[in-house]
Amino acid sequence: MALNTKALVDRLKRTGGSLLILIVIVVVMTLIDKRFLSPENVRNILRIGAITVIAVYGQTFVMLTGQIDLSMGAVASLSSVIIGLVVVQLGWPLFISIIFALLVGALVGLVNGVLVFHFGLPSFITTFGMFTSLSGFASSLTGSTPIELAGLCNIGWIGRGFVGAVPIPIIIAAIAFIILHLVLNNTGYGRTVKAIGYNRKVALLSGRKVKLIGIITYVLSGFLVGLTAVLMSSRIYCAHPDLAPNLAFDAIAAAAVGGISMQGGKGNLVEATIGALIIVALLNGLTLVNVTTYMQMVTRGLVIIVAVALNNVRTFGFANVTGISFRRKKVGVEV
Amino acid sequence: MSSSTTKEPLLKVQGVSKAFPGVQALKQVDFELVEGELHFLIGENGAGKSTFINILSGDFPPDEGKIWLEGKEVRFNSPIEAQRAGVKTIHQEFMLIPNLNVAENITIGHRQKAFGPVMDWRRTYKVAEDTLKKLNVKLDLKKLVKNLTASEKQIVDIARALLGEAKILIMDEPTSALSSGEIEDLFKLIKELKRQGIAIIYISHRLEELSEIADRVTVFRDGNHICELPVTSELKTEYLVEQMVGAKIEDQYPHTPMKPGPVKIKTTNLSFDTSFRNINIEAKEGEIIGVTGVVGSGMEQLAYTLAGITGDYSGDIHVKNQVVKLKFPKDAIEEGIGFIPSDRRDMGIIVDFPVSHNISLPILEKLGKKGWIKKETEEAVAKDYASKLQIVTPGIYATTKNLSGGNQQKVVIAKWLAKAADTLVCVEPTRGIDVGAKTEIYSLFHQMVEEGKSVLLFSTDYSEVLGMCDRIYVIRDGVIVKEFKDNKVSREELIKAVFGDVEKSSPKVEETN
Amino acid sequence: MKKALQQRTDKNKEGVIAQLSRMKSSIDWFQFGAVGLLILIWLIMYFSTPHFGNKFNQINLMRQASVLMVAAAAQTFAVIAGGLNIAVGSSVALSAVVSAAVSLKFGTAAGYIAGVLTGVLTGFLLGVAVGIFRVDATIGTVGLMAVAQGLAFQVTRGRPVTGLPQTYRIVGMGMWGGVPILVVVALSTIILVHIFLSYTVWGRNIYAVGVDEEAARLAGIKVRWYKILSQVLSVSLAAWAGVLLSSRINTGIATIGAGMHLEAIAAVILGGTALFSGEGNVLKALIGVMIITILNNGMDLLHVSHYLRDILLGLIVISVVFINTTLKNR
Repeated sequence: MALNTKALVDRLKRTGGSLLILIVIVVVMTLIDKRFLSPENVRNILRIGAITVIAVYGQTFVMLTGQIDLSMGAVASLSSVIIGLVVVQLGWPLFISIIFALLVGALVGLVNGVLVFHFGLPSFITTFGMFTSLSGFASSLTGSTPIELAGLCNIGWIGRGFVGAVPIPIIIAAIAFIILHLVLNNTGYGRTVKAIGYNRKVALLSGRKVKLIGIITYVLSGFLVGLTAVLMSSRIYCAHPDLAPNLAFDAIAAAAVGGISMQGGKGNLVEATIGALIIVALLNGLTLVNVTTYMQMVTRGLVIIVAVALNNVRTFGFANVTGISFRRKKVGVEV
Repeated sequence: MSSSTTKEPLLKVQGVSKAFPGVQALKQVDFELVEGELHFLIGENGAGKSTFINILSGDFPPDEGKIWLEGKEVRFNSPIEAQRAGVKTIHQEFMLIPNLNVAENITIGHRQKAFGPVMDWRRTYKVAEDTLKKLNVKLDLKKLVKNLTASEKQIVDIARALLGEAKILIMDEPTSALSSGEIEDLFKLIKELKRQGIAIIYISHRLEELSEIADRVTVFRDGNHICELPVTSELKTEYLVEQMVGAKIEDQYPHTPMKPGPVKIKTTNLSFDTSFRNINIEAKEGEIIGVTGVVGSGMEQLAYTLAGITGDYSGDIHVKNQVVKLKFPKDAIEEGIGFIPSDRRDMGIIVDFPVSHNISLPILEKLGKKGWIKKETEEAVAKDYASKLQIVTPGIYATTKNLSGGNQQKVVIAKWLAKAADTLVCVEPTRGIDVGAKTEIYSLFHQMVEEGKSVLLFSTDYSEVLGMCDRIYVIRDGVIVKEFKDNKVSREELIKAVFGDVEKSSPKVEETN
Repeated sequence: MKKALQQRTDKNKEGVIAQLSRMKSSIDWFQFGAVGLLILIWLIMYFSTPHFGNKFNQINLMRQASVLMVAAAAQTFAVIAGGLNIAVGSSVALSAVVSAAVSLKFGTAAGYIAGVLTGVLTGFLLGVAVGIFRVDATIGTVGLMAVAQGLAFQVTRGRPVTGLPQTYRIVGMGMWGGVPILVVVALSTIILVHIFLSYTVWGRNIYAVGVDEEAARLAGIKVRWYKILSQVLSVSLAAWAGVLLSSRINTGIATIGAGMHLEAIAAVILGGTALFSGEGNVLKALIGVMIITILNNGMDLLHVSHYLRDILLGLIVISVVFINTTLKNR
């Protein structure tokens, strides 16, 4: 296959950059506390990372279309609560409840997608509004108390089980990566996603069904968040209405630090994975050193801001970003 | 008309050149301007006029050459520097601040303050009013600029330029969006400005305006300064057009009309908004037809409507004798209509995609089964078209951003060929493209119609239209004023039809008051 | 191009019809609706529960509104600057706890100043990111939300700060000849903000930069400075709201201000300020503030569950944005 060496080198540089950040974090953390690299901790990082990365993939797809999904935390809560309700209130088998959880996630995604792509509402505020509504809704379903599932069903095996020596979440994450990577690079859908992010107008003018693809992307994101919720609930053996309030932040931070562009189009799943590992490793390391959850929250926020700033500099060059004005959008085409 | 003067020039430009990646926009041009003069600058698209005024406005400095203002050598490194020196530019897009009102926009460079940062609104309004009075105009000072008409916005722009010592005013296509009544008003203003000693560099395609306001006219072509002449009653527009367009026509346009087939696409009573009305044009299989008119004549809008971009038109569009409803671009694409834009980076290609991705963009379904993309198929298709169209690229996986303008446009064409479009709607397709690539694109058009396709060329490049088209429609102020039924049209005839009769003033819009 | 030609014909037909249609677009139908809604909601609440019309409740209502007013002013800055401030609630929380904590050691005045200073500092950092590194303002506030909220919790370690000096609650709970001091302070703030935006060059430039950066740059406005300034002011105002809120409840607690992100946005849009349009007006937002506050207050009295209120808030915001967007595209 003929390769575009220049673009490949550019991409390697970018991915290499994020990889470097990951390595730096690992090294620094290990220096601060040797336990960081203990096999137990590494397994932990990988397992949590595997669970988080699925949500990051969802956010990545949405970001690739040039939008954002701030509702993730609430969707996770809702999906989790649904699992609890289906198992406890309806008495149905676990496997059905999981399907419901995934469906709920997809449904919310559908609503998000329609609001953003069909009605043209700005995605920040819309998904944020959904976050608030859905959080309230999820909490109202259980009265803010988690539903214990430990004795009722074999939920633990998904999040804590193994297949051979490999934890199940990692297998699921790997499968997700492979499937999603193929979808992004080898299907018309994936190609259109990138086209929409890079230049929505041209995508439309070339006959792509922009609205439909956008909606599907949100559905996909919702579905993936549902999956994340299943894995998370499994690890704590209960359905929790406040399962992962920071999920959207983590996903955005991970995507940003991995190199996914906020404007859309630019980015791939390898970057997303590295980004997820960076965030998880970072937070894990901070926990290890007894940094409070509060300061971890601060870290998340800082990572988002710094990562986006760095991405800008990486893409456009320091001088261009900070100094010079962008005059006359078309350069080199003069009348 | 003032005769050429013997005053010391206010502005003197010598040997200025400017190059951009892939194209030499200006080649050692000279220019001169005296006080109180209106100096018309004409030239085709791509002649370098815009680049020239960019340099004078301070957007970027020239690569070589010197500029003297009032005898002193100057070099502007930013628009602010140029403005401070007294060179004010009235852009086509009126760089006004849309959400502030008239008075604020006029005084924006010279805020009237009461103390510290506190605004003195009373003085702001007074200063704005006084400035407008100097121009003999009245406007509602409290109105937000975004709610003004184009002509009013222009007045605000001019007023803003005047506040704070303007020596030179540069106006870029000022009349393209104005009605004839508004144009009269503008000319009155211009005469007043000249009387006050302000020199004006005036870019326009409307040659009939020369006799009314211009003192001298300079022609640019292909980045070169061709000639500079005083505007007198002996000056013939035909001569100017010849200078604008250059003599070498025939070789550049490798096309001879062939026997056309049945009608491919036709419009009946097509109208949209106030852009155009009752348009009846048609294109047959195997034909290249041209639609030409000045900027603002409705030409571009018509093209957009045929490409399905505009959407809510009245009247009918027929493709292969069936009435079709082109509400969205995908409708047009389904009817086999491909769209070649003038701004390819905005509407034609995705600059960050590799070439092959751009070519395959409309045909993703065909690259494999059930939504899958078979890379081998994509590669084959891309390579096929890249070679057929002779697209110069380091490889089909090269990022399209790095291709030259001409090759980028070829990618757009390739895209539609891949989609098996059999009608191409092109708007200024060769704008900003070098001569060699232009000819290649023309050859492509010729090949395509040889195969029975149709090309609709919407262009203000008159040589292009004359050289390539089998039939030409001329559109003026939203209506088709003339159809040349064969390609034996002289330049003079075409120009006359486009601009209207030269002796009369600007084309009239039917006033129904 | 299209619009220019349309206006050209309009001008030609300059008769009563054209004049009227231009006038119509400047009357804000949306605002009419908002005022009507306000009256309607007030009436509904009045008749739904006897407690609503009660004098104490009305005073309480005004106090609630006061804090939201200042928060809405903060949001207005962000909207004028062309984005959104999703972090309002978090800035409120952070400054509330800082103000309370500092006042414990150094007295009320120092506390208040410290509270506002946190806003200035965090706003400045955000401003640098937005103005100099061209981080999208709204994304920046997403990051700020996490930072501020985390810091707020960190300062208090999850426990409310109590035992504040006597003077701390004067602004929030005191009365001045029958009028709550808080209301006076909040209204004064609003008026100052309004004066700033409408009567100072700095304010006007913020408007200019918010809609068309290029045009502003060409006009000689230092775009980067103003981007930084907008963020600083937006976050500082939110901080001020936080100080006022902590005074009102006489505690520094990190969980307050939770809903304020959305409430502030809803208030601004309900008041008639369109998103991304560069036309913001703090005075307009007052109507929205009143609507939201009355709704909140009424729901409190009617013992509407906390969850239902969240659901409602989210839905209201989405609906309001929906109406706003569809009206704009018409």
